[in-house]
Amino acid sequence: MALDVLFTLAISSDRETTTLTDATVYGGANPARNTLRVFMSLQKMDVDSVGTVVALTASPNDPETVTSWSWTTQPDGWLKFYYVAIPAYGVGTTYAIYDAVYDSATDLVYRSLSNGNLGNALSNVTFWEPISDPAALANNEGEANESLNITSLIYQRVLTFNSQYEYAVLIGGNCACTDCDDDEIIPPYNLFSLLLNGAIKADQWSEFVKGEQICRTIQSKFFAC
Amino acid sequence: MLVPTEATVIYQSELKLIDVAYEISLNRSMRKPEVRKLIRQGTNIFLWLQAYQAASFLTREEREKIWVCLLDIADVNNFAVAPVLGQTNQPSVFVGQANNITNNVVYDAGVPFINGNVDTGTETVDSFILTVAYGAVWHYTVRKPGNQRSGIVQASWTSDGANVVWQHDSTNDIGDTSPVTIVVDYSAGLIRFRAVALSDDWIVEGNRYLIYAPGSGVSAGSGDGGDIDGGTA
Repeated sequence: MALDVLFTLAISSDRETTTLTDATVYGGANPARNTLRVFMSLQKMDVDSVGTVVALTASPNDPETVTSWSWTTQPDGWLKFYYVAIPAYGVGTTYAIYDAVYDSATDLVYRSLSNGNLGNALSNVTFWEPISDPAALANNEGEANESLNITSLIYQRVLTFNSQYEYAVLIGGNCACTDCDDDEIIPPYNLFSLLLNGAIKADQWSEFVKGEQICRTIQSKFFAC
Repeated sequence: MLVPTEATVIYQSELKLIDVAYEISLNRSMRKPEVRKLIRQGTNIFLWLQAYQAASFLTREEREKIWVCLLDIADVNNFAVAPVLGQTNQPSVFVGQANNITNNVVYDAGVPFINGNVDTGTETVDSFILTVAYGAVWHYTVRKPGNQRSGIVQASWTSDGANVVWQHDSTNDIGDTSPVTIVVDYSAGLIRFRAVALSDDWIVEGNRYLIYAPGSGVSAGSGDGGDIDGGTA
């Protein structure tokens, strides 16, 4: 299923909430939006590449119409999004093993257990298994159990907006200081600039582990307790 | 193999900046001599890259001063990928005759790309971050059994992606490749080279050459809910 997926990111003015918006252009040459069910999950990754699930609030809270997902802003660093767009089950379609579909009556997702799967009801456990976490199917891309009939994407970023905010606070505070010793404030300014730009470049060049490590150091050294 | 051009020096310097920042981050104490040395190196790389952001206003000589410094401070020549140096014919000296010296310069082979299964619809064949370049040239081939054409696409864009212009030239078809057209656009921080297909099973592949513009960055997230991208502090 050819589908070009696009996202945009935004943060609330109080920096409490971050939102990922689905900017994909559906319809036309792409499948229509109402023919798909879209699922998303998010993990905050650490320097050992271990993820912690972050709760998402979908808006609208319906995989048929969802356009954005929000979460409580996480500490800066590596975020990993799992996105899948799953087509509807068709009784006249022959499914291969691991193909995934949604039940248009319930929006539940099922995965085929065999090749040549034609005309078998989704309730038939010989041919279909329910999938409780559809977004996790994105993990199978490139693997033997990949669901070839869906669109899946693992979208990764190193976000640094908390660091950028704290950097601005540091600079603003020093600008207002009339009796500060420049020899004391310039070295941390340089180090903060260096680390922050290293993290920004890590995001641009997809160096996620390094970006996460750099963000951890920025937080430990420059954020107020 | 990389030629040590201005573009590759800037690219490798940015990667070096990431590595240096990462190495610094692994240390708890910023006072150790080896860490302070890394901080000095990283700060210098960062400052030179910052200076290079004004490249469009600098003369060629002024830009060369910057990236020659980066060659040194970013240890670009110590990268595992060796630069390909131009080949120089040994000069022939003939008494009483002119001496001809010819340098054969080996150009960058470009970045290869391929989408081996373009089906009906619009699919991205190649993409890269908007801010790494001012423009690009793609040499491409569209093919499937019995049908083939090759072409060149040139594109240029503003640093915010609001204005993307491109043009296209190609050979005549072998068979019929009319179901596939090429477009270049900008979306979500990426310049995209895309194939629009009216039928299935096409292969679109080639090499991409960037007109490099490093370090311009993208606006940092604002306090009123604006989009977030990487920025330069």
